Amino acid sequence: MKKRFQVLIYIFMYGSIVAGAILGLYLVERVEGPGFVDYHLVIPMLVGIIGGAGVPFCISLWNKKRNKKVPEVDERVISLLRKYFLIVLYIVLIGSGFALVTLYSLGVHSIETGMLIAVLSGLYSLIGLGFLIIKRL
Amino acid sequence: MPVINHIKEIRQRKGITQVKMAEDLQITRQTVNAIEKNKYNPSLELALKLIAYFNVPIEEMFYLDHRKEK
Repeated sequence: MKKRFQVLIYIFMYGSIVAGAILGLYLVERVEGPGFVDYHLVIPMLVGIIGGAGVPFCISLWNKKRNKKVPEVDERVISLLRKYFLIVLYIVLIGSGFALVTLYSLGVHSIETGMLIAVLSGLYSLIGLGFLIIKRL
Repeated sequence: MPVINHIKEIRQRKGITQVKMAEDLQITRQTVNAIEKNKYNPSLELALKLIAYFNVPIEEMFYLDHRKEK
């Protein structure tokens, strides 16, 4: 039962990513006009998503085979993660407030949304990396 | 007041490995290591599981270090 749920979660997660990417291409074509989007992009996109999904999946399978009955998460890991996310929350809240005030005082009165997306992507990656490190501690 | 435990000595006396203990108690090997090195105090639930697992009285496994208080 548990494994079936895990497979369903994986299918839903990666299905949503693929659907979102294809929808994005379709919307770009609708806005920019026909012929703007090269649909051959779908192939590397799918390969990237499947590759990106496959690597962590294989690592988790390999870990499960190596330590058959030892769980990956226990009370100590949960307590560490709780502390980590609390610290992350404060750093992100105070850090972004501080960054905004600093930028405003420097004369930057508007931020490009593309720049925000880039900053947030970096932030998410850092938080994800920290999560993986904390999980292994 | 720090809590000191004798889990490592008791485990070694009974000839149980860290991995076997982790498997039996459903905790990670890192947690076993952290508890044995007194870097992490287990929850009451895990402490009771440990006492039942090794079948020893609680005072033989855990005690308060009064020296550090002074």
